[in-house]
Amino acid sequence: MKDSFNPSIEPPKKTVTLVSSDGYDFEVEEEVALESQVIKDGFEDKAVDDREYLLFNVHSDTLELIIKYCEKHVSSRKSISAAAASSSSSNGEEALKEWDEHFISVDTNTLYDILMAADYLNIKSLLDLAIQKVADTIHGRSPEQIRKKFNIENDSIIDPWASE
Amino acid sequence: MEMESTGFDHHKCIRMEMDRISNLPEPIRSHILDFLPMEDAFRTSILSRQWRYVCFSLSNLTFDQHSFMQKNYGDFDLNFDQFSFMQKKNSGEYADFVNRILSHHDGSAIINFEVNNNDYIYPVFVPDVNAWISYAVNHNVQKLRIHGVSTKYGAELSGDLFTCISLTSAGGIEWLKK
Repeated sequence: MKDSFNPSIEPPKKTVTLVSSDGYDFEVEEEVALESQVIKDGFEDKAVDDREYLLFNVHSDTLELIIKYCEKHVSSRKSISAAAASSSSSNGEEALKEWDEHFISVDTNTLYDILMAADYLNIKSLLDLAIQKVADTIHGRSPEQIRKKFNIENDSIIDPWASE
Repeated sequence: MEMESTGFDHHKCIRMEMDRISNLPEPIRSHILDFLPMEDAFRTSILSRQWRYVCFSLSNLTFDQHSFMQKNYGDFDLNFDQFSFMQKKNSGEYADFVNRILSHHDGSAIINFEVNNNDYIYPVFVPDVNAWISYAVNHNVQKLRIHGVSTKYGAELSGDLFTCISLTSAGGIEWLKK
């Protein structure tokens, strides 16, 4: 992908290493890692040859998904702006939305893992995607259905369902 | 960012049965409720003790009189202390509902505040609307919409609107300019 701003000094792809809570290394392209606002904020302070991030709260299973999401979003943004630059028609945004839908259609536990990791890494679009998914599950359900769906124990002292 | 020690690093085998949503940090649960219609958001307050107050930190408050009168926010047979008011429905009770929700709000910033006073049989009194606008303005509201307020009481809207915020949209604008 060419950098139209200043192609002459474009450096080779740099990578950073993300280390999951269970000790696995993930080598990803810099721009993919920078989708995380947390990594971005601390990025300039790190020495170039020491770009390793220990993600104590993200399990390797989740990290793999997060990286997949970020890679997809980085590459989609490029192809969308490339299509816009060449004024060729593109349904990139639509396709990405569909991809997101499919990506977030996971079991409840994985959804929470993604949600917590997106919060921890501060990846806003992913956090919103996961939160919307949880909200969709709550929407229109009765309290009893919600409790059942999420394994919530009703520990209210006063039973709101008791009749007068 | 600090994680809660509960909900995160569990082995898959034990976490299947866990109530993970209740153990999400409160800001995240509050964020979830912001993605829901008001009735759904308030309904979560009776799920369990952990959920009781989450809905009072909503940053997105949308009140719709018509849906309040029709659907009755208390359609789930609420029967305890601060929520008994949600079962009422007639003239002043919609305003009472809004006032009660605002008085329970925890004071955190309100991003979006929208009021649809669209029941012409039971028009909302102007002082109430003024109080709501002041409340929203005092909580640094970013987007404010007031729709369909009756003019029959002839009172002036509070001046807060014109000094503090930029209106992105206002259904009651003709009335505002009186």
